[in-house]
Parts: sequence; structure tokens; C-alpha cells
Amino acid sequence: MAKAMLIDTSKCTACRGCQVACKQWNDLPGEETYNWGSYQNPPELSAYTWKLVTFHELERDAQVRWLFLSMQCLHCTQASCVSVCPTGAAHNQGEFVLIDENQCIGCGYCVQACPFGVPRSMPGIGDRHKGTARKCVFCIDRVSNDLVPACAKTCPAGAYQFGERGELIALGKTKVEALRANGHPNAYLYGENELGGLHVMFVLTEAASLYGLPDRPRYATASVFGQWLSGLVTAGVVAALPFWLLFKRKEELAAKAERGGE
Amino acid sequence: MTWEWQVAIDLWLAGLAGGAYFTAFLADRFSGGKHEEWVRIATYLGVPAALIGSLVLAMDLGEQFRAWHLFIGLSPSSWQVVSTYGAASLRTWPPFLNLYPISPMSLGSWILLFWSLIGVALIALWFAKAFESVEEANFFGTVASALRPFLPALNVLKWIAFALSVLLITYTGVLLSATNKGLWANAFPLPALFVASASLTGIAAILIIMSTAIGPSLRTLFGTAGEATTGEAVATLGKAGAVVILIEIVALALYLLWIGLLSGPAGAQAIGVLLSGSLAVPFWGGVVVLGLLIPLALEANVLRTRKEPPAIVLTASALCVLLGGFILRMVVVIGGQL
Repeated sequence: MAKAMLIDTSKCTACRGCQVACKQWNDLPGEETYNWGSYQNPPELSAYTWKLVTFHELERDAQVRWLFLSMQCLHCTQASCVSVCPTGAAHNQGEFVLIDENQCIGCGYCVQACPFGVPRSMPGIGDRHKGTARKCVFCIDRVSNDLVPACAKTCPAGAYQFGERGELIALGKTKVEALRANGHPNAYLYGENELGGLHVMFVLTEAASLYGLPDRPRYATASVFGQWLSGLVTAGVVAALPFWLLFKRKEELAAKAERGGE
Repeated sequence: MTWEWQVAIDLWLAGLAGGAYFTAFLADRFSGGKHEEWVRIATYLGVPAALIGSLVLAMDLGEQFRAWHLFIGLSPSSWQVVSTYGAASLRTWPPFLNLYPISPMSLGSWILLFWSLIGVALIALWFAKAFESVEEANFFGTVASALRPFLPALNVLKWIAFALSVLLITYTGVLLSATNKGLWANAFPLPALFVASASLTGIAAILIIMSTAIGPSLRTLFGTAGEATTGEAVATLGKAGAVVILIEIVALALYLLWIGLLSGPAGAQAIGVLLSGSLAVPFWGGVVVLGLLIPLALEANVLRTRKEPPAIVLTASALCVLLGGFILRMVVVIGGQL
């Protein structure tokens, strides 16, 4: 059975303990940040920040509500980073999505392809603006030794559940039912079916887009064959319209005129 | 920003290289082999252009010295990935080779590699042909006679290069559309736009060479191929270019409509940046006016009248097209990440 994580955002207090635990366990350096007008700090995920509590303000009935989302790699079953990676560095390992740092060439394709904007390029050494791509590794070292991921272990609010994916889906559904019955009619279990099933799922109290998540995340290469076809058809149009008309037909007309003249 | 001008340069040069070969080959075939000279020019020009583009792109990698990982995977993790998860299962074959058909960058790298290799082979064979009469035992004569047995392969190689050139110009658009950025994602007209633009810049590159002194000097250097290109033939190529401009305008309009109307809020926002935001000046001034409308106006004379246009008009419009093609790549690459 596949392991997974369920994060109940209705319980999250945005203490950012998970953020710190992630940095500590994975030995990630701190980043210099600045006040950019939000408690969300650092402002976004980076090669050194694999876990980030995002803050979203929801204004409803002249009241402002905060929506917290403990964002990280969601370990998709249909992972766009895996499908676009040209070297096989990004790969599915069991239920998890990992980037092999020794294979990665730092092309940045996964950075562009991820529907959640998760993988980030390392700042390059010296003047170079980018290095290899980094992201959450689901604490693969802990999980493969029967330990709970660092973020889940540290959460003081009980927002995290780590376990078998099937059981977590059942648990998430009961949580959603309870939320719907208690003043959150828009509650939703995010990740059950998205992209073939995510291995980090969220219990949301509002629509996904209000948390900065795509409502319908898209597999980057979902329509790649159609895109190839679109280019090939256009090449056909270019061949047929100007070139066939101007070069082939002219040639035929000239040949006909020559025959007529004889 | 993860992708900057280096990516735009590569998309532009790869498009120019593939587009020049693609259009030259079409003109040559449809006219019954009259324009082999153009095919040669496209190859002489395209192979270095494609290689320079690849080099710029390799320099832009986070780990430049691992660029060979695009082709060969020696680490077990790259070829022992056994997965039941959709596209990833394509990754187990062939062993050691990093060929992932689902990844446009992987496929594109292989296309670029083979197109360049075949281009080099074509240049070598044309060289052998040009020195056919040299039987003396000097260096060129020896190399030429060593290559001569391979001359029958010339035609087959030209066809393979043609097929690869179509894939090459398509890849530049597919690369961007297989992502999740507002301006690129899921955009079927984007490969169409880039194919049209690549064909156009390819025609422009050939036109510049044929309508300036470079053409005749090439003829002196490499000997004749097919019939001598007349001013009328160059004018016909210019007319073909004007029709391709019209095709590109249609593709551009389709692309903007598609992203603006069908790609959700992210797409609508990206279109705003392009049409009236921070990229409006390069988009309207560079892509639309300089790259499409001015060359079209200049070549409208060619379309309307039968007389041969002065070389300066063709050269000027071709230069506008080349510049506009680069600005298009730049605007799309940068705009997708804003």
C-alpha cells in the first residue's frame, strides 16, 4: 500500500513548526528574507525551503479570514516534473517523486512544468543564476526507516496524518463531512483524484484556488501529442500554400506552356 | 527567472536552422531540383546556427558539464526506473540511453543531434562532389575520393534531414507548451506559431544570402549546384515569404485568442502582460510591426507587381523578419514567467 500524508488545513495554526522541522532534518540553510507585507516567510518555496506555510486572506461578509496552507511537493502519481525531465533525474520511486541530484543537469524544465510551482533551481555558484532543481523528498530517509516525515512529526496542532493512502482518504472524507456540517459548506478533500492521486492531500475549508492551488491541476504533457500534431499540420500548410503554389504549380504551368508552344 | 535570453536564442536559432532547410528543400523538390543551391546554403548556415544555439543552451544549464546526460545515462537511477505510473514507464527503454519520447526536451535534443550530424554528413558529401574532378593526390583530393563511395546516400540523407527539420521547428513550440505556465501551457497554436515563424526566419536567412554578395561568393567557393538562381527565383521565394507572414499572422491571432479565452485566469493575465502590460512595446513594436507588418508591406510590392524587386527591399524585409522572430521568442519566453 502506498504511503501518504493528509494535512487538515482547518487545524493548522500557521505556527510554521513544520517549516522549521523540514529545514532541520534536511539540513537546509536559512534564507535572508524581508518584510514583504505578509507573515508568509520566506515569500515563496525555494531550493532551500521545501516546506512553506502560505497565508491567504479571504474577505467575506466584511470579515477577513486567514487560510493557511502548508505547501510542499505533493508527490503526484502523474508528476509533470517526471514526464518532462530529459535525463530521468526526476523519477517516481514507489509513491514518491524524487529528483536525483547526480543526474539533474539544471535545465529548469521541471520548474516550468510543475502545476504547483514546487521544484526550484538552486542559486548557481558564483555568477551563475541557477543550479540543479530541488524540492521536498518526503523525508525518504525517515519514511524508509518506518519514521514519520519531519513536518508531520513536529506538528503541534494535529493537522498532519501520515499513513496508508486508502485509510487517509477515508479519514479525509469524514473530516470533510464534519466540516461541511459545521459551517464550511465548501470543504473539499484535495488530492484524492487530482493528477492520478496526490500523496500529500489536503482537507480544505474553501475552494482550492483560494489557497493558491490550481482548481484542476494539469499534467504538463497531457496534450503533448496534439501539440506535436499542431506543429506538423502547420508545416504542412506552409508546404502546401506558398511552396506548392509558387514553385510546383508554376513549374507545371511553365511545362504546359512549353508543350503548347511546340 | 529560470529561463532567460539563452533559451530564446536557442529556440530562434534552432527554428532558423530547421526552417531554412525545410523551406529550401520544399522549393528545390517542387521546382524539380532547381534550387539545390538553397538547400546547401540552408545546411551551411543551419548546422552552425543549430550548434551555436545548443552551445548557448548548454552554457545556461545549472550543471553545464553534465549536458551529456541528455543522451546517455550511466547512473542506475536513470535507466532502472521501473514504474507503473503512466508515461514514466517509457523510461526503461533503451538501457543507458536517455531517450524519453514524452519529454519534448529529450526528444528535441535527439532531433537536434541527428539533424546536425546529418547536416555535417551532407556538407562532407557536397564537398566530395565539388572536388569530383580533383584526382591529384593532394589533401582535398584524397578526402574527396575517400568520401565518394558514399555519394549515393546523398539523396536519402537529404530526405531524412527534411523530416528531422520539420520535427526540429515543431519542437521549439512543443517545448514551451508542455509546461504549466500561463502563456505556454496547453496552447495548441503555439507550436503552429513557432513553425510559421521558423519557416519565415529560414526564408529570410536564405533571402539575405541570395540577395546580397554572399550568394555569388558562395557559388565561387563551392561550385555550382542545380541551376544558377535567377532574380526571378529569389523574388518567388520572397513571395512565398509574404504568404508565410500571412500564415504566421493567423497563427499568432489563434494563439492569443486561445490563451486569452481558453487558458483560464493565468492565461488571461499573461495575455494582459503581452498586449498592454510590461511587454506591450516589444510585442506590438517588435513582433507585430517590425517582424510582420513592415516585411509584409515591403513584400506587398513583390506580390502585386511582376517585376523583380530591388535586392535592398528583400534584404531589409528579411532583416526585419529575423529580428522580429527573435523578439517573438524573447517575448514568449520572458512573458511566460512573469
